[in-house]
Amino acid sequence: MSEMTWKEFLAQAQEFLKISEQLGDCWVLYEKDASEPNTFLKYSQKIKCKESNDGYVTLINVEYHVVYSVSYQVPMLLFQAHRSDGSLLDLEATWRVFMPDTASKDLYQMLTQTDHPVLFRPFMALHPCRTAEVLDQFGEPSANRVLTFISLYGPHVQLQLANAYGLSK
Amino acid sequence: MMRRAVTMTVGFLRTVFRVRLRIRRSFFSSACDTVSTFSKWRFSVILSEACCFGCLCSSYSRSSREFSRSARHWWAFSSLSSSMSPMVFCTLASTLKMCFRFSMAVAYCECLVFSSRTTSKASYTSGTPCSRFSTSSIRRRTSRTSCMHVSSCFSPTRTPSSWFCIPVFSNASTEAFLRAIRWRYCSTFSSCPGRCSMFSANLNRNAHKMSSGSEDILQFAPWESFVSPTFWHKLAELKLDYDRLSDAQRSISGHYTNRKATGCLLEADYTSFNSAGQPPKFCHAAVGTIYNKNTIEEFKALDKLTLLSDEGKKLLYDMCSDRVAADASLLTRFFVLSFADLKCHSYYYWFAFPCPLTPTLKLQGAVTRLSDLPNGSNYVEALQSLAPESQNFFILYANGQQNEAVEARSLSSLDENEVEHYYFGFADPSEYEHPAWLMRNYAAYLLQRFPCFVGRTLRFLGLRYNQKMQMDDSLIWNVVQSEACDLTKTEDIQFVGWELNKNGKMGPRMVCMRDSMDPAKLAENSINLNLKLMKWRLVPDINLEIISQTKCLLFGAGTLGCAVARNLLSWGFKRITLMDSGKVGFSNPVRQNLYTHADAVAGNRMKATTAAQRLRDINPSAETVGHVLEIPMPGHTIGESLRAQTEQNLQLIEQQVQAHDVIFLLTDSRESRWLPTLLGAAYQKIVINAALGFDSYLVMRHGSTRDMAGDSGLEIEGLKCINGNQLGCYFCNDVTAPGNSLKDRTLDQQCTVTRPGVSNIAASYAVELLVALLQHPQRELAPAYYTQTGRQQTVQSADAGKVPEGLLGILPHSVRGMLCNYENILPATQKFAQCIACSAPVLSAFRNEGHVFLFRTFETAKYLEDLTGISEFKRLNSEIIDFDDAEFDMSEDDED
Repeated sequence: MSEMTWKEFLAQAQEFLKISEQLGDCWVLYEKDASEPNTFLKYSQKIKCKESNDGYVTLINVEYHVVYSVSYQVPMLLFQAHRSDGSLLDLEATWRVFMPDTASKDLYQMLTQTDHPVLFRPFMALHPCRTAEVLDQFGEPSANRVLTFISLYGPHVQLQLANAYGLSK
Repeated sequence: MMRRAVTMTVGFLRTVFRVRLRIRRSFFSSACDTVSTFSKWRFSVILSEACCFGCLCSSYSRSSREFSRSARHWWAFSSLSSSMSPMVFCTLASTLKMCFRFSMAVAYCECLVFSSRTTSKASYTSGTPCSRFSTSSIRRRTSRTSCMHVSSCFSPTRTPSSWFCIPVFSNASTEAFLRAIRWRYCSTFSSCPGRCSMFSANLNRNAHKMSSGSEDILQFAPWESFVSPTFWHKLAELKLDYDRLSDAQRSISGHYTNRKATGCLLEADYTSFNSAGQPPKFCHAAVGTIYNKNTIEEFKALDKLTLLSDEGKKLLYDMCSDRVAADASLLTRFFVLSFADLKCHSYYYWFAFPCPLTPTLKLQGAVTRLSDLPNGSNYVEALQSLAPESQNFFILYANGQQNEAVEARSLSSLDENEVEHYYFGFADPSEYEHPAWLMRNYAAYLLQRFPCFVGRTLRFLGLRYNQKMQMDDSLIWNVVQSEACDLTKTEDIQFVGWELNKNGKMGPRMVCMRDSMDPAKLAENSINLNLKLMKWRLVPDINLEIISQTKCLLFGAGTLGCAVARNLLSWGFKRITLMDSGKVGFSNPVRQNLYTHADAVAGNRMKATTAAQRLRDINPSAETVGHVLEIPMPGHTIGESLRAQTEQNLQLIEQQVQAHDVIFLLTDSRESRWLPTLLGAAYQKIVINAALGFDSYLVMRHGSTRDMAGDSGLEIEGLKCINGNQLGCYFCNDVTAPGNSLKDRTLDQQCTVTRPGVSNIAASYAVELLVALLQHPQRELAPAYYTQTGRQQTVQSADAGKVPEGLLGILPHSVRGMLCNYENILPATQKFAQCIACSAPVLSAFRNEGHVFLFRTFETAKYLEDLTGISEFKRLNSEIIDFDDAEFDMSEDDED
């Protein structure tokens, strides 16, 4: 099964961070305190996107958090985007940017707003309810399921890991 | 749009008229040549008409992007007499300025106004004083030839006063024109005092968009500010807790990265306010100041040019005093002018990146990539040896021999005699082919420190990393500044650097952070999101808007009132009014869930107002009011002394009933429900009633007094149907008028003694019944069904499936339940023609006599019985009625 304990998550997140440091990536392990689940992986990047239909390209900064979901016992991908003036993208704007072609009915099942389990602020999240199932499809559990998770879920929200992550081992 | 167009045109005409008065015989020639979809741009038509008057005018749009696309006209006017006084230009300029706000740049001899936006092709309407000016050549897109044309026609230096042009450009045309002008006459512009700096800023804004056509002049990519929400959070915190009324400037820091750069960003976040700001990994620090003003007026009134030049002088001081040699990051200076509207969570701000206007840098030869250099690997090696924190500004020393050795050095080790061996390196945050704005200051600094560099070729290396930390994209520019410029004479130096706002105009930006900073707004969004979850899959058609707009009036703020109010909040009802006369007692808080022990201890807290306050504590965006008043009741005689007070209360109650959509009857006695029932019927409101027994409850919707507009209810086999306007009210099953139920009762009979769960169940049913009703297509006119078999007029479970459903299932007339056997039945009853609360005689008596009628009923309830003829009825049928009462004993009192 692909569910993982908090300890496993933490160990694999640290392992992931090590690879990131080797690659000169900018992932950070944010530790609020030592208790479960108050440590998460953090990454931010800038994305050019067409927010509205008038063709204007705006630059947004997206901050990704890989947090441990206590109830589902899997990693969970949360993120938040803001524009150059500091205003946050709300749920509708996030949909437009990240999933412009998906029917809104399906969007609710994938990408929604939730309270950050560590920071207690509203964040956008990819639902963790199917994560274990998705990770299970890979037969043998991979050595680092946090890495597998990010590489599987990240691309849906424009978070691409360098191929070098797959080669490190 | 049209109206604005007209007013603006009028403004222009007025100006023009003034100008014409002054320049009498001047000759204006203009021809109109607009491309393609002319009809689309009606405003242009107006303008061209205006133009036909032989005047100057221009099209412009401030807000509408759509329209700015149309604003691609360029009016040129020739042959202004050379004696035209500066006054004329001033008048013209100021009028134009009014119309154009910030978007204009006025030079004294040349008046250039442009609204830059949009790309797409350039179209000009041109006055053609000279034959060489051919429209066709200009219409070609920003090609080099057209620039030549433009520049040869508009030659500000040659004939400074014989030309007067007001072009309104598209970006393309702006660029073409500016490039041409700048290319040739840059010095002219920079020698113009005042607003020229604004003009230059615009010029440079456009610089990075230009193609590489103009090799001669090095252009820079301007900074773009990129602010994190945490910056505003921190600013708000500092303002509230530390600065308060002080608006002293505060040092801040920013950072920029040359790794996988996007745009040319200068970023600021909460760490910007730290005293020893450590830039994030792969980032370099910029030095800044924030001027946070106390009022929007101060923010607006501040002289922006003076501020810019004050900040610029600080920069010059650093350059000249060699503080820069000690800390090169002083070259990347910026400042923010801001105003934080903390109440509305709005932030007005304007970034500026001051830079002295020095003679232009000419580019020598092509821009080369680092990887294209011979012995490129030597350079890479040398750069790799450089510590990341000193990579912002540095020197590369290359000995210039075959198989050359390259060495990275710090800026302070600079030796002017070795200049031909140097590459002046800097971390370049620009993603464009032009170097970042900071190189301007860098070059100015170098030339100031070593005046002998003037006229010599300087090699600049913009260090750029990609994602993989390779520096192949780094660029090298060979530049020369041919004129000397002494930066120590600060009085003569002009500065540029205000950032343009999102519309490409000279102006501040504003961001509203309410959604992420205002707790009330955060709560509202979360509550809505929670409700919207229902829409997603379970009830996609539910209308949450109706719910949030429905106004509810609650009679009674006891156990039922509190529970109903909370359930209303849960559903997203926002407007709730409570009426109650009681104070919070010691026994109340355990059952009445909006009160606490402290309310009882305080001794004088009124239930209605306390409950209203608590509801707002729970949901700040709720609009709640509490009215403390006694509800007049039939059979409760009102003494002469209380008459005036009662009169007032009656008025308030009537007015409140009219102002709300839904009335909840949640009081503790039967008779106190009479007046609200009557008013609800009289003013055609939705009335929901909840009453409690010891272990039983009744929740019902009163029949509507509206006329049925549509079809009556569907007849279904085995079921009887009662239309919404035929359904009874709480009093329709009675044959007695309510008397004084508190008389002759012991305490356990007076106070409602109920199982505690009953009130919560009933309150929940009451609110759910209302929501189901609001979502039903027929709302209160929706029919109710019952089976005729058996004595009771209720829907039996076997038939329940046949009842037509609304959005949230069936809509019963009433729900009667018992806790002793955990059973609900759903009776439906007809209106009673002799009802003492909702029948026609009562309603008409109320309409005709108003308060007189009411006071008569308060005197004696018998009056009602006589009015409706019910007393006669009672006498005849008392036996049967008694039987019914025994069959279904409902204590009508509900709460204390």
